Amino acid sequence: MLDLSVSSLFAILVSAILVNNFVLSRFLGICPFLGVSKQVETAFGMGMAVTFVMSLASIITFVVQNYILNPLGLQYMQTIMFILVIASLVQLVEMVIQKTSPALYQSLGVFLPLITTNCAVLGLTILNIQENYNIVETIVHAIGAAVGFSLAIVLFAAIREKLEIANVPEPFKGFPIALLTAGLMSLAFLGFSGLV
Amino acid sequence: MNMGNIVKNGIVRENPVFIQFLGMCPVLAVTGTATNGLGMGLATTAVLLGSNTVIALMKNFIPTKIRIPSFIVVIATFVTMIGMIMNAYLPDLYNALGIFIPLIVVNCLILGRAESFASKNPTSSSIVDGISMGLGFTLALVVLGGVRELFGSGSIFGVDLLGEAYPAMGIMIQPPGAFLALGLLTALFNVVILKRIK
Amino acid sequence: MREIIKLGLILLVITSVAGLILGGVNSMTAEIIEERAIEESLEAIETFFPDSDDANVVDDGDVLAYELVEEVYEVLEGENVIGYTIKTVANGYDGPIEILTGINMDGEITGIEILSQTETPGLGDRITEEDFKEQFAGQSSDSELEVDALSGATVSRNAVVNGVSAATDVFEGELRN
Repeated sequence: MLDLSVSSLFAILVSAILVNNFVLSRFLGICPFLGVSKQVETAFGMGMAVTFVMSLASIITFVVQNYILNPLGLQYMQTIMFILVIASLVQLVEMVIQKTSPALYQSLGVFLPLITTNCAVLGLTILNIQENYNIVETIVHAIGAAVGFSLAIVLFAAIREKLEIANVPEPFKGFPIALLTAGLMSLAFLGFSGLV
Repeated sequence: MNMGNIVKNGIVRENPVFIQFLGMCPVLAVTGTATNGLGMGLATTAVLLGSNTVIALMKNFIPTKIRIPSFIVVIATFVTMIGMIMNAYLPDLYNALGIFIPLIVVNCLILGRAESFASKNPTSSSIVDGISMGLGFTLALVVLGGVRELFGSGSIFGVDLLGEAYPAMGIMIQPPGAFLALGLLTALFNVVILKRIK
Repeated sequence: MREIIKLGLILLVITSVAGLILGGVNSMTAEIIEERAIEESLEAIETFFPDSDDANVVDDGDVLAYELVEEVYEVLEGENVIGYTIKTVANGYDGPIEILTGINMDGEITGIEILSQTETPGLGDRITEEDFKEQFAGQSSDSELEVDALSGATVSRNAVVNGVSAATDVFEGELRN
């Protein structure tokens, strides 16, 4: 029974981007969010790389869960299988991009190894299964999660570029001020709750 | 390396949260209460202890090229095992931590210790390292959870401390409060450490 | 090529060993987890229907096809069905909320219980407080539910109301005779 009503898909999308933003309200993908957000350009690259891996990983793990783990009653192997899928996918994508498009590799290559331990990707694949999404909902949810992640990290990088030239008190330099900034962004995103 | 040093490194000098900023997702996500912080910290410590031990024991049998995937499988096995045990014996905690239990797999602290310590050191010191790093992580989670719970609900570990008259700052136990509390705590940590250096 | 196969095999061996160990732990814990779930449901049934002697799972495709409905028990006193308990799963603010609703044959809600939830501590998780849950008892299954607002926990409150409404829907549609 495939429920394809546009309104429910739209709700999933908006919820993943704004209401339950992966970074600012679900706390998934905090490491790259704090680590790779000093410049808008690199943040954008990271966002694109994550989008790519998230979409592919969601589709593959959907197949793994529904056609391998569930029929065999091996649900408890979920974590191991999903993380292996993500790790090999990242490796594969890295090799393919390196061979086919050196330009793309130049811009995305450095981010790819970091994605294996990005909990937003594993978190997304587990949430897809937990929410019982069908394949279409899974893809929409993946796109929403990726856009939400990219939106948060690019906005954050834009603020941090400005912070570089601001006069920050000594103890707040570096991570503390970044965390406070993220807190204010999260506060702003809280305004979206109840939207869907 | 001297065992005392390993312990000090794990808990203070290289504290995983306040100094290294590792494993930030669970740090921010589950610290709405001190109890949840403690539960997550101890679960992570158990996984860290298990994975450090097994990886230190197996380090000579694992080919360098598939090192990382092998480590990940070992870690994922311990995570799943701890998850099952928690579901069986501590169902309330298991439900409260939710998706962040399977996500212990991608806590960079655990893979980081496997790669930089357990795969290069003897089993005994790897065990001590696992426990100390785990306790350093737990300590940070309990402090953060305690601060957020105190301001957000007026209690610590569910024990009401500030009474009915205290106007609870609900925001502290919501997502923004996590960022704000950790930001202020690391700044405080910096002040204390900066003072010491000077 | 040979090396890749060899490395692949080593990884396969490690994963298989991991799988075997987990299979073992799973078979030990699965039983405890299942028993506890049944126990929780039975305990709630006791409080909803103090006169009950026994309860059976209702295994009817039409009943389980209703939205949000997960599991239905018919509650017996001697030979007579005196009511139903219906487990529904609604989407809260931060993940699924499992709700158990008891309805007697007169179409009166005898009580609700929150079996599991992951709502925000101090805000959304107030749905587990007695004051909140008590409001449902005594309401009729064929009319709109009347439940007070919970400030700061609107999404969680609505999720519970949706879950209980789903239970009354299936009761009115399939179970009431």
